[in-house]
Amino acid sequence: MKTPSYPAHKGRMAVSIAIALPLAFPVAVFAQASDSTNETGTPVKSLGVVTVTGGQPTSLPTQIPTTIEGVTREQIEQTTNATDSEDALKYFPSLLIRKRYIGDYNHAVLSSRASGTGNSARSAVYADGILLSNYLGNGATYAPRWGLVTPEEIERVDVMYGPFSAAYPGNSVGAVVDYVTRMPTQFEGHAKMSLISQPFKLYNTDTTYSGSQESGSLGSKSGDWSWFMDLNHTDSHGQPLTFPTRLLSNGKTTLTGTAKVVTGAIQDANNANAPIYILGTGTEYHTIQDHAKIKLAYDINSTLRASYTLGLWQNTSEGRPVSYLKDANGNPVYSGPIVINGLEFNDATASNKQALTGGDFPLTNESLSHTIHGLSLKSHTQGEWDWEAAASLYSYDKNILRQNGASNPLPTALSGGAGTITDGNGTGWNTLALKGIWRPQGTAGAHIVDFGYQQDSYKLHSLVSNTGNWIAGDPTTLSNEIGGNTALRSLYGQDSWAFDPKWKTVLGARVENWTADNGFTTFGVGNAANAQYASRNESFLSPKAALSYQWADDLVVKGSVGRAVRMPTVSELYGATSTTNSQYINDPNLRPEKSWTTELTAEKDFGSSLLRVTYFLEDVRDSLYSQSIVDTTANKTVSRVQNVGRILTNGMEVAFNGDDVFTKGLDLSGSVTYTDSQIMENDGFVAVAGDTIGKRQPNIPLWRATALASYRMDEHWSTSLGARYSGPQFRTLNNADVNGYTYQGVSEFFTTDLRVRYAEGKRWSASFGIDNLNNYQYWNFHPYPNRSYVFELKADM
Amino acid sequence: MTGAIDQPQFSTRMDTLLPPEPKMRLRFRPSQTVLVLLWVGALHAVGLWALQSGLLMRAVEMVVPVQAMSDFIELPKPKEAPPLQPKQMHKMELTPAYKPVAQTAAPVPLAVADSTPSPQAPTGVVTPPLAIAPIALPVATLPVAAVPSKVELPSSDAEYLHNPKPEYPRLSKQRGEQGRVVVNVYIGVDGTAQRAEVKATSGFERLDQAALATARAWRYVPGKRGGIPEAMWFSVPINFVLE
Repeated sequence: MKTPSYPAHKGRMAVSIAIALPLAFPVAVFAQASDSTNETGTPVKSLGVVTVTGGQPTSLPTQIPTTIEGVTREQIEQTTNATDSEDALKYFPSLLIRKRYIGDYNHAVLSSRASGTGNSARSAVYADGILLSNYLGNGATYAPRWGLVTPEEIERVDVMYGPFSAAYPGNSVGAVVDYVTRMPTQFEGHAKMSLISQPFKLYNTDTTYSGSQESGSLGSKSGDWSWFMDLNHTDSHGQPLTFPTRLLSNGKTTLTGTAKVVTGAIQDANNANAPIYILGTGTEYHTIQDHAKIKLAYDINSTLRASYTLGLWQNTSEGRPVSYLKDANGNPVYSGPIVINGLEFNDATASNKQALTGGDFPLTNESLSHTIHGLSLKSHTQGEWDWEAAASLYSYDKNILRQNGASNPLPTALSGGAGTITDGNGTGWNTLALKGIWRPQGTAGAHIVDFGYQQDSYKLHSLVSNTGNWIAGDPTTLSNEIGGNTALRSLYGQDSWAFDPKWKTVLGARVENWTADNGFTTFGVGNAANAQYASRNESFLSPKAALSYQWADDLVVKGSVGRAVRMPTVSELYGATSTTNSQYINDPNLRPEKSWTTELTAEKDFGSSLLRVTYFLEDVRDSLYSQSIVDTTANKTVSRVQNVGRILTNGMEVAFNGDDVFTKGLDLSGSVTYTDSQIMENDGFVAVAGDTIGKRQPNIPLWRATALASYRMDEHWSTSLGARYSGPQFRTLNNADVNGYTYQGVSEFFTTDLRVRYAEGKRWSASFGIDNLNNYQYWNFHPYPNRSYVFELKADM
Repeated sequence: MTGAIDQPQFSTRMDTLLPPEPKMRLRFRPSQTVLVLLWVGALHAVGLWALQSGLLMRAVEMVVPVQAMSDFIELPKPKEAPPLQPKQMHKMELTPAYKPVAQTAAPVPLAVADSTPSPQAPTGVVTPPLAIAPIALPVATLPVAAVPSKVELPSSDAEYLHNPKPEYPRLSKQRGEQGRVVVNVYIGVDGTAQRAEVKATSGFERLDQAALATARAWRYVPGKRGGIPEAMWFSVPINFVLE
């Protein structure tokens, strides 16, 4: 506790002043009083204002009476074995992030109440106002850029569960995630080292994959300047993610004698329960990532702050396969016609690729370098007017993926040979926001109006070239090139009006003008499929409303409703691709997805705990879905984007959050979510007309639950136990994937995580954690990690 | 200034705070409350401005002689009246139904100013006391006693007390609750909080309770009058801030 010195004869007066002091001016008082002395010249101690700071607040619109959940750095430190920034969201009600391994940079999609793990464009992730969500596409490849925030930087993260604020684009329909990162008020430094180990057993794989992470940060405030810098290095081996397979039904019992007889294949059933052979593993990533961030802030005066953020993220990763197949001499088999248990897989035509190719056991090398810039000028008068101007830029400076070709299998592919290079250079997005807050009657007044203008621009460019040497060669002929821009210009305004001490309403609207330009698809000069797409320009209005009633001192009832228009992304419109293993079919005429999302909440406050019950309803028209179908004959995944007529979702979420429950130091939180999400209308279909009607929305389970108990035993020891459950789900629109426990299936899961932390003062701490303690083998197309051990050592000053 | 302001609100709670002392019971009519609140608002505004401009300290020094300030806090006989918090006395000054105690109470045995700190006192504390002066009153009306009584306020900040700051309640932090709580604590001669009550709410029950629990758990240096420890009311302001 900081206490000022007061002169004895003036002490009481000074104290009185301090007592009467509004919280904005404690420093001023201390400064005035402490340099005084009494008649004898001796400073005398007396009581002063005790200021308890709880870190920074969220930048989410907390004035809107709707569900907002959050965690702070201390909680994350105590409860979560966090190696990636998205881990902080692990135990949030109804949320699931499809993170498959430490450093997962391309598939960690966030799913929310009514949006599945295939719908990356249905949530909005921001860090200090910078957009990390990737609205260039919708799906695994376009997961939020979590890597631009490290766990060490997080001050707090909060989530709003729907499109209830007019200040966010329609992508906020599922959730708005707001990361606030550290900005020191005094000198501080942190260093952390983590080691991770995952013994992984699946099919014929029995290997321990490991990783390590080192991070350090420094920051301070001196005078009007504040700064913070953070460095992070991650080196991680994930478990295998893909598995080449063959349907037994595609094997021929008539042997030609030209095929190699192999052993080692594992028989399983695919997601439709048809028998398959698992031939080996693919896409075991070894990723090496570096992150650097510098934040600078300058207080131009006591109410105006300018800040700048620069973030760099680099990733070098290798994806490597392993074949389970052995020939008669015990050598691994990677290519050519094969015979497994008397079934021959031989044909190698484009329509019936049953012989092994380089596409079955692909090798990939990826080299990515991305930069973010954020600049903001923000006033903080807390008076009648406040305003902010903010701009941000996300840039793919380098985005190169190299892969061996189908004709260039292992083992020769290890040293080069034909392949492809996918170059995403020139891709990125930028945002500009001008915001204002008007408080006609002051901060405690009945009306608080916020309004603004926003402009978000997205640019996608992807060039796939052939190369003579997939490891080091230059691009030669063009294989496929796509590109295009979209932009969203929006005006919004919302008034939070406390029209009665017990009632509050928020009314708002957002007007959006959306354009799509410069779209093109090229498969090489003269190719019939080449296309230049016409520009589009459309406008939409999204009203928002919320109402809350303080039923009793400890019970609030609130409801919120909002329309959200989720615009098609560049890759959905123009992103036709065709590679060895996959094909993507675009549609330049996609309609935007329009949702009405509603939630009704009753929240009971027990003082040190809270109980919330929320009913949610979402009615989506023209839902944008990229439905991928595995073409087992061509051994290719074919994705087609389409508008699904109408999806209706109803659900209930019950969440509890309590401190010192039963005993001091024991914090409990938990949630249970029931969701009924159905496809009501759809002109499209998967196999036969109408086969998706009445089916469940992909990746939305009926039941989800989280539970987290953390216990601070004493000043040194704390421990936590977390659990997550998700019921069975489907990933296809026709719900044909009935088997979840297999490659390309999505399974039910129940996993538990443990963390034990020992702290020696405020300086040193060490923790040991086990994720997936019960070693549950679960799937979301790819297998999730098995039981993993995490050890951390941390120093703070 | 603020003493006078706080006082009416404080007095309304006197019934519950000090039930054994019928003399202390003060009744407030609603109309009076409104007036007082307006007065409070105006004084706050003026005071804050003064504070901002650095005028207040100078004004206090000039307008209220130190001697007068301490003299004003003449106290009733211990047997007849409980130890009074300075604020309570202000109340009495302002309430017409009440005769200022300072003028009617029986003579108090006046302690001689003792420049030696008592064993419990934090090092460096000098006795000359401080008083609370309602600067709203004309200085001329202050009664001047023959011998000043020295009051030394309790404190909670001595290093050896190891008083920890309250923890920011997790749920409050999570939910963005912030505000200032003022807890009134009756500090016994042994330095413990014998009673504590939230005097000014932060607007959030969770923060109020955290502040209350903290103020109750703290150890204090008891207040003294003329060097003799004495139970006293005191205010502990706690700010919960997210910034």
